[in-house]
Amino acid sequence: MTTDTAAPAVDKANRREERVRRIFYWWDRVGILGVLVLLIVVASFASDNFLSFSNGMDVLRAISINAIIAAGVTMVILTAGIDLSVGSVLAVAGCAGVLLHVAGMPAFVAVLGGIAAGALCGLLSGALVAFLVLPSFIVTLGAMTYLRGTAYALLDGQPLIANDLSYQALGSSYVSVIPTPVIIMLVVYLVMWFVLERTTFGRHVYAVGGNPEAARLAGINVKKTLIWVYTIGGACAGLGGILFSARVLSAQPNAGQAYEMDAIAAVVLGGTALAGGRGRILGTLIGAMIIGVLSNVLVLTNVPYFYQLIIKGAVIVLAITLDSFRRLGQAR
Amino acid sequence: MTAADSAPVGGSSSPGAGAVAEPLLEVRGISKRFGATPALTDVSFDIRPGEIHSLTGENGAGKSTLMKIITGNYAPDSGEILIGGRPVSFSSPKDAHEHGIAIIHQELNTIPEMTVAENLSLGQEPNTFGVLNRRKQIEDARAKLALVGSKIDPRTPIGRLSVGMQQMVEIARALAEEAQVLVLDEPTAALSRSETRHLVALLGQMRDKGMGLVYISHRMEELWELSDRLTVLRDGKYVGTKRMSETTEQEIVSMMVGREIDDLYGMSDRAPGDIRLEVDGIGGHGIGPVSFSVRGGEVVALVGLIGAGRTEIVRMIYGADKSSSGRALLDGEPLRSTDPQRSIRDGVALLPESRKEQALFLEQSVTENIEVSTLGRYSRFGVTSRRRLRKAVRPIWDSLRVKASSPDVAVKSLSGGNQQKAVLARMLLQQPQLLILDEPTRGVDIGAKSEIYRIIDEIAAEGAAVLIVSSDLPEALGISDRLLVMHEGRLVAELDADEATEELVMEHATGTFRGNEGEAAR
Repeated sequence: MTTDTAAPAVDKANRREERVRRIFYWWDRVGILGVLVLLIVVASFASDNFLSFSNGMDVLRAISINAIIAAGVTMVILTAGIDLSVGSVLAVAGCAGVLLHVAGMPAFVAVLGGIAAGALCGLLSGALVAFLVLPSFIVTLGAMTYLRGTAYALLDGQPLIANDLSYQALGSSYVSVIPTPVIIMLVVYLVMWFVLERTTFGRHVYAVGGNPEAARLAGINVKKTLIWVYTIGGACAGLGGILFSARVLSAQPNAGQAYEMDAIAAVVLGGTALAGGRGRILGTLIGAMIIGVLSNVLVLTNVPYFYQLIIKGAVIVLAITLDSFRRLGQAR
Repeated sequence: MTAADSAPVGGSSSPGAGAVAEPLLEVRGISKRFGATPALTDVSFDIRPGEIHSLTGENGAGKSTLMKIITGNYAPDSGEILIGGRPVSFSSPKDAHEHGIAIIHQELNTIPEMTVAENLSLGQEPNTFGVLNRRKQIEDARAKLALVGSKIDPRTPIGRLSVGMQQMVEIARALAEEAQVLVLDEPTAALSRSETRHLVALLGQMRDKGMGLVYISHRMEELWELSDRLTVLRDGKYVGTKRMSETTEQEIVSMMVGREIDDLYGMSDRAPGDIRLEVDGIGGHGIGPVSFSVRGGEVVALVGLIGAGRTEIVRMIYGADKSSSGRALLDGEPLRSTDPQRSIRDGVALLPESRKEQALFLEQSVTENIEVSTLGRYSRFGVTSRRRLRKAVRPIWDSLRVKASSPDVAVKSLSGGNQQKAVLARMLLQQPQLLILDEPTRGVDIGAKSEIYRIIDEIAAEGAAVLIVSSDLPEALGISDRLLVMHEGRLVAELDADEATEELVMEHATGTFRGNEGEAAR
């Protein structure tokens, strides 16, 4: 056939395409984990202090609160929603925990009370999203403001110091050599992974996010699923608030501002689609680690704060650009 | 399969048979792979002035890929494209466009909020130093619309027009740009009968003016009515090209499926049992009230024109929409038809009308799509048992013969027919007592169709009541025991499938029945 004459050029194009495809293949498998490894390698060259056990633990402890919040946000984003209120929920939960302690409640009541306060905040947002079919962006944007106001109102606008905080061990103690918040973070991810991968509820989360109408017709209770998702998201932020207050030995009504952005960044870096229905919880943990390692190495190498912000923002955009290329590669 | 009588042969530009004009467009030995999957292997195709050359084959046969290569969306891995005998290479759809190749996509390329005139001048708005000349825009649009004999007001937002009228606007654009080759991808899929007639007439005129038309369809009737020649693809391979005057329908079908299909519907002799579904005056949304019943082991087809209210009725029975009156009973027990979750528990399954919008989770695997409605039955304390699910899905997967390398591939990578099988598998896993299928074979190729009919027959034979909504009359007549005809929201006739004919059904469905006045449904 006449194709012979065109063969060399086509071969060359094929080889190039094959190479690109192989990159995408690996990106698909390794993806964001590769970015993390690369970042660690670069960081260990950039700073002699980076690659040590204690610095590693510092990084993990630093990310633990963001990672725990991001785990809840992952679930919300999987349903094609968003939760902008997590920073304010964190503040409210911290206030609740410290206030319960001040009121003389035992540590476990204060801790569970804080988490429950977070869950309640999430429940309210979830109910508004599910029953009034309001966009989650608007509902949680509102919640972000009114919950911040609630936190200030609870404490009359002043931080409440509690140097003898009964549950302070959650923030500062160690289990053998590992900081307790890191252990809590790992437990949260283990539970989340199990819930999303192995339970009917988890599968419903993916279904509702992937195609809500199909989910409804397939007999899934979409409203119930959504309410649970926002409640769990609130509980995660509430746990974050407890850890935060345990760390700073006080209730801070202005705690957690802009935390939603770090959480969303971790989720998206981890490969969860903002359009819903696609993503993995472990990706979020890696996403949070990338942000943590980046911050850590920028501090270790004495990069001025302003430039830290610029670099962090740029890395997030870059990672997401890579991810969209991956999806282009998959698309036919 | 026989080779083509007029397939283009590499190196020679004259096909030999008689005095035939030089092809406007020719592709030779085209191959294209996506990853490890070959989509097209050594396919050749040509289009001459003044002919309609149809391209057919089952879903996944490679029709769309070939068209995307011709229109510059994909670059072929090997092979060549010739225009007027000269090799060309397209690096973008714009290149193909400049060579006079236009395409009317199945999903129309219009911006619904913009007016007809704005859509027609998109990218080439008449302007003076960037200031839009609206009057000229509208005049131009009128002139373009006149090419297709359309008198639509160019100031109408295009989204308010019917699909057929929007298609006319797109054809007008192609004609105004003096396209030599026009590709039409399943153009009649969403058209009414009169719109289809209009389109067919227009295509005839275009052919007579010397254009080359590539017509993609798997509706046998149309292929027959329209085409001069027909090329069949199967599994990405070229099967053959036939002159319509020298072939038969059976030959084309067996070229498409690669085997003989003797009886497409192949229904067994089932003896309907007791009444299982009893619909008692159900209505709402301006539809109904409607009463009818379906027996166990019986397949009943709900037919009528688009908009007659068939889908609304079955959605109300399933509880997907609320009914404002009446009720449905299954085995004497009223269905608590308030939400699908309950209906499924009560033994009702619904295959919705629109696969992608209402049934599939495109990002998820085939298995996950199959299991989604029955997770609760295979889990304990909310924890799913993968082993038990796998065991339950396996036999259904095998019996449906889904063409996929494994049940774990993404459902979006399957062809339409196989996607539909996956949805049907979800219904079967529910072990329904009442199976409702809304347009079960829309956009499904012949091979998958016959499989779906076999499954319907099997499930009815096991004693379930089956209710089907179908716009495909031969299908409705072929697979059902009884037909219920709807017209403008009311049930107007009940016909025995053995006695009904397409004409009789259409008379009832269009409200023109004059036979025995008054002999409507109960």
